[in-house]
Amino acid sequence: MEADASTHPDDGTIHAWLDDALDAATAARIAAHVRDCPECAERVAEARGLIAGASRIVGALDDVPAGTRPAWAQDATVDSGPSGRAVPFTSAQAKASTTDASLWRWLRVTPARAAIAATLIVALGITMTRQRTGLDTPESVQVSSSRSASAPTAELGDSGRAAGGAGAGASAQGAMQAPQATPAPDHLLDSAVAKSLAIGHPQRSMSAAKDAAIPQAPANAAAASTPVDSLAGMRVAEGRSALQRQRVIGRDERADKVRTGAAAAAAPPAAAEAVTAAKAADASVARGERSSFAGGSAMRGDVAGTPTGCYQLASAAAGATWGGEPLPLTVAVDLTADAATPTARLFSADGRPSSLQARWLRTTRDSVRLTLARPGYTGTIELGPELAGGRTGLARSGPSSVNSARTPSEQAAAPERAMPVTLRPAGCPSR
Amino acid sequence: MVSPDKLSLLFKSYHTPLVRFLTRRLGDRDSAEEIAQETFVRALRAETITSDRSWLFAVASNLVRDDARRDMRERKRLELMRTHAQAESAEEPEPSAVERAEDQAMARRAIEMLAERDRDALLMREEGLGYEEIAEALGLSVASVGTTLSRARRRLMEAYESLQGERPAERA
Repeated sequence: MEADASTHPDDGTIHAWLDDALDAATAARIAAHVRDCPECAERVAEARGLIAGASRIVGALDDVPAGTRPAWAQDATVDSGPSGRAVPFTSAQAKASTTDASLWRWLRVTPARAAIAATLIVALGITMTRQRTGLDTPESVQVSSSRSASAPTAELGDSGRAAGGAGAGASAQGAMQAPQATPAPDHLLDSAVAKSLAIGHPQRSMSAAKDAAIPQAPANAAAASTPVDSLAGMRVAEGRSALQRQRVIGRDERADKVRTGAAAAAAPPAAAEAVTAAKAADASVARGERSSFAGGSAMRGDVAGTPTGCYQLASAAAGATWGGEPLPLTVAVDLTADAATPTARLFSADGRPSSLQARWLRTTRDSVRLTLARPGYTGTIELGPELAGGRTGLARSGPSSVNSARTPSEQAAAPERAMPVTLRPAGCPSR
Repeated sequence: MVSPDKLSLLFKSYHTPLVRFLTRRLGDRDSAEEIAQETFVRALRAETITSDRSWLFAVASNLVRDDARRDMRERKRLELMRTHAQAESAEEPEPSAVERAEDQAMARRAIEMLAERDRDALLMREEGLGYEEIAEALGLSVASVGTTLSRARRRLMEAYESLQGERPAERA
């Protein structure tokens, strides 16, 4: 049955439906309409992509990577959003991380000061030599001595007002201490200035952030909402086990529950099931050819939500492409790489390898973001939660600003547009 | 006037999401903490609070607007300081950290390109507020919240994608 055009829901209603903000009767009507209206099914797929993408972007606002924050930010007691990816940095940890360098800090040995000290020693030696040979007067020796004593005193005095910029060395030392002692905004700003001036001193500028950041990551791990966290680099180590993957997923799910809030948790189970069942219907509407590769092997069946194996990326739109390749494409996810952001290879409908690769990032609320990796192109696919018929979402791609890798004919092609897509489990091509 | 017990309950229930909302809104945690505190001070002085969460988010949003005018210059200075400190960093962060920092910067720019009401509605929704609560906090009709959110999401994605298109091709 073709739905009457006058009953097509507008975008606001579709978003309200996907946000569970409609009453049961209206939600049922929308579900029935979407089931019978391919055009609306595409709009629902697009809305799912927009919801997933916007949620991911908002979540990225919380992401403060370790080691790139200035001193005033590192001094914050806790800096974690719902994802908990940001790493807390307490004063106690800052103190611990710098204890081993306290002697050198107390001595305040910097290259500049070492040069000054060497100069003074040479000057003193020459003076003493001259005095011993009777070529100098007692007064001049006294002047030299007073200069040698006053220079470090002046520098030590500078450290208390590091942000004044009186000297690079003195400011550098003060930068590590000012944020802890003076939380007032102006002093924090000053410390940021001092921190930037202190960058040239590798021993202090990086050790404070790293020493504190790495041990703190596990404490926040339970709240992380995306697989990309401060420990991602460590997880790249060879032989990442299935247990580690489960930990990542479990962490995501816990974070998702936190993010979706108490409202979702308090929803009556029966009502939630009804809504889920109604929404699952729309996923089957965007139809595409299911790939059937001779000798292909399905690889699904890993822990909940983990991208494993192959999927078919299809669009109901005629002539749809992604990254310059026509749809449908087969997305083969490689789990032997970084489990946090696995690499996916894309194959054409007949099983031939394409020039496309993509990174698979599982984001909040069981959503997925695919990022195109092809020179000369940019592209993303934002996909909503996995339902009975797969994931639906929004694919975008087009030429990047740096497009030297594309041929003239490719450059002449019109930019690709955003389009609703479906990603369903499928067989893998023979290799 | 709200009782201390009631305030304690409000604080326990909503302080964390409120600070997160404000941090996302402002891009600065210290300011977010300050405004959250001021919000709860106002709650203590309030005669009655009917809808707790929407009241708190509405007051916080209004404080952000007031604060924005006063502290706009200050925040820009902070951002410049932070950018300068990152650019001058002596040690190259790991690539994933660089990408995350770029992603965060683009997300920040994209969210700031939204109209204020769209941005507030989206960030409130991401904190789990229902349509009725968002409508109450922002003075909208419930029926228009879906339209506001769909517009906010679409524009955010478009802004983000356009920013992404401005930078060099994705790392392979």
